[in-house]
Amino acid sequence: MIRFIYADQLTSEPALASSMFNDRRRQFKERLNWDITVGDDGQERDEYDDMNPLYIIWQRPNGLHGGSMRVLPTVGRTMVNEHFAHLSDGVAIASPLIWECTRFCISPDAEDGRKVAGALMLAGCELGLRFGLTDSVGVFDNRMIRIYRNIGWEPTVTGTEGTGKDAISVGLWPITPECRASIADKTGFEVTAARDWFEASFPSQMPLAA
Amino acid sequence: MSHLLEETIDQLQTSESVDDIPVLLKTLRENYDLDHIVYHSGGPGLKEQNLFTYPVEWVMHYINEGYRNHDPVYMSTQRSWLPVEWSRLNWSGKMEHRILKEALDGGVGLNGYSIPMRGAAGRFAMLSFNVNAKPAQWESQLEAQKRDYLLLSHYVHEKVQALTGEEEATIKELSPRERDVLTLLSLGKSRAQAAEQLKISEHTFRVYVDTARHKLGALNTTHAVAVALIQRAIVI
Repeated sequence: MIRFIYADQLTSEPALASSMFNDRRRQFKERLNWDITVGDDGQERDEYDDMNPLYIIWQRPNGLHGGSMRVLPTVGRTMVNEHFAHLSDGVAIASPLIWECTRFCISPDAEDGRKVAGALMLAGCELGLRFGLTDSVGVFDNRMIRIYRNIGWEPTVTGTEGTGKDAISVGLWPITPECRASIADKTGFEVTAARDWFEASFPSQMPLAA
Repeated sequence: MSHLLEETIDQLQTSESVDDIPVLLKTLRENYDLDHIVYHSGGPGLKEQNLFTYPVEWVMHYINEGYRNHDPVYMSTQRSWLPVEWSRLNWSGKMEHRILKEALDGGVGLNGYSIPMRGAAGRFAMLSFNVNAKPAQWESQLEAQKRDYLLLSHYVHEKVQALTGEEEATIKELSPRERDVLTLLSLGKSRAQAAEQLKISEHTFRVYVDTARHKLGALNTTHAVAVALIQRAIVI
């Protein structure tokens, strides 16, 4: 299932956390060969992981990481604005209504990678709708475009660098109920699935009544 | 852009001192059918601003009892950046339950939505929207107004910072592309025409208008163009 979890809550989930950062090394360093740093512990983290991002994580039945992405508000520091602004016409994408989603990662150990990818995108769209956003911005390996298309939620590419399998793009995902329905339709999830995941992560617990 | 939000702009524009802000918050709460709106800004070694529509007796009680560091709303917005729905916070502790109960007795509504914001030098700010209503009623109100809440929070925060002279020193300059976008709109081009001329998608065009709007502190496109012209960020 999907969990929404802040970085500072990961300390109480050490196995989940370390399997996520290990899987990020496997995907971004070993498979995609991105120019990123891996710690002595074999975990891939960067400075944005220190800004208390919200992670959307698919937790496997064994409790370990099956896939994830990292969410930050664009009114603060973001990877896209600090490292990839040349891929959005030099425009810093900063608005209260736009969040950044990066490090979209699927574990090679996931039971069904396609399902995990769909769940993550559905959860991301749900999060945006729930808080009234207009768009999400992200940087991605171009090989992901086909996956995004299959999931039913394609980004508008603002810029690309590199060619062929080394190409990296910045893209914008519109956040609309239609997009959520499209993802649910393509991936076989109920359109309400992500709402249930959110409720499980942030349960209502008001003790008094109006 | 909602009609209510546009109405708010003018009044915010004409605020000349921080003392005007509580009056603005009162208008806002009426426009949005809320009971209270509360703004807080502070941080280590920074001057605090507390602007609110709450009964002053409740605020004095809250301060005198030292409730802040036990208040789930304050504590959770300190560490998170997502807007916080009060109903999802943990009120089960003895102290937390007491704060909640006394707040309701003191005139605070049961439903709240608080938006945290962060600035330079460790500045933390939040805007809380509050109303006493049945859960279903609050749910639909929040659904209809949550986008405005997000925009209002940042707008009020920037205005307060500007009025107190503590606005972050960096002036948010428009990028050349944002200037192109606003220039074409100021010349009366449609979004589709302007996007085509710049060889970008309409979606990308809309987002660049939004980022420019945010930088200029404008809540709609017409206003953004006007501000850009006044600041001579664009010239036609």
